[in-house]
Amino acid sequence: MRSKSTLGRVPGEAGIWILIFGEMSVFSALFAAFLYYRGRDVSGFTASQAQLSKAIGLLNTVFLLTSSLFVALAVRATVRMRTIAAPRLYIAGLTCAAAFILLKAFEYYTLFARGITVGSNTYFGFYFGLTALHLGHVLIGSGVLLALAIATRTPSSEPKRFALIESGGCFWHMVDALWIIIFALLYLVE
Amino acid sequence: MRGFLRDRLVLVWLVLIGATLFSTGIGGTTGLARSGDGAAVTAAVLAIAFGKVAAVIFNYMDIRRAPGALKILWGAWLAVVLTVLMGIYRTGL
Repeated sequence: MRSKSTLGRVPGEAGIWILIFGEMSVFSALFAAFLYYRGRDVSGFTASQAQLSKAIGLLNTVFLLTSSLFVALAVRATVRMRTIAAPRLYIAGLTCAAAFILLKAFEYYTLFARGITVGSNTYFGFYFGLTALHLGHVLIGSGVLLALAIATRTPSSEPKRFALIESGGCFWHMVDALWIIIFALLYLVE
Repeated sequence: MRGFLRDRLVLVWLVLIGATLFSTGIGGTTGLARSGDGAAVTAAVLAIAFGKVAAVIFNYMDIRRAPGALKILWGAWLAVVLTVLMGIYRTGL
């Protein structure tokens, strides 16, 4: 008979995985639609993509990857009952999220200033649709990180509480994973 | 510092950042491989992106320690979505 450690354990609450699979599948349908419409107007999509700053996309990717690192370190610190380190690491992750939001707002501003909006063409319809939907998830995730920073200030070994904390961390990593694909599709596909 | 750099979570982050810099360098309208084959660049960019997502799911979400069924499910999901996206891009469906 195999031990429990050999069989593995599901991180967080089981329900969070249904949410994550569902969210990522809905986004994947949008990614497929983006490439479908791109195939019908390659030159238009390429010209529109050239309006974006790859540097902004790259910097925002670095912010989210770094926030994911901080959150992974924070969850581990929570397991180890480090009630000083864990909240600080969640706040560090939250700071990266805030940097992402500010830079995304700046990018929107620069596009609006040039008269580019959601109705400009199909590419920018997808650009604003995908990034705004994702930004909504970043905002929700930021609230989750703030709640985790507060919750982990007091030590607790209650498994249910820890599962909730781990679920919050997994939600944040999903936000990061979705952005990785959005960045590739909107900024890098040739 | 050396201990920090030996931390698996930090090593994964370094790989993710390196992969991001590489794909940003080759991809897009100002990519280093602009004069090359756009289809090959896109295939590389998408494959790297899904490799990064796999790294996040398995290491940061800790699926690497999850039951085998969940690992297979995620691996299959990533492979199917990547294949579908590549297929749409290449065939212009």
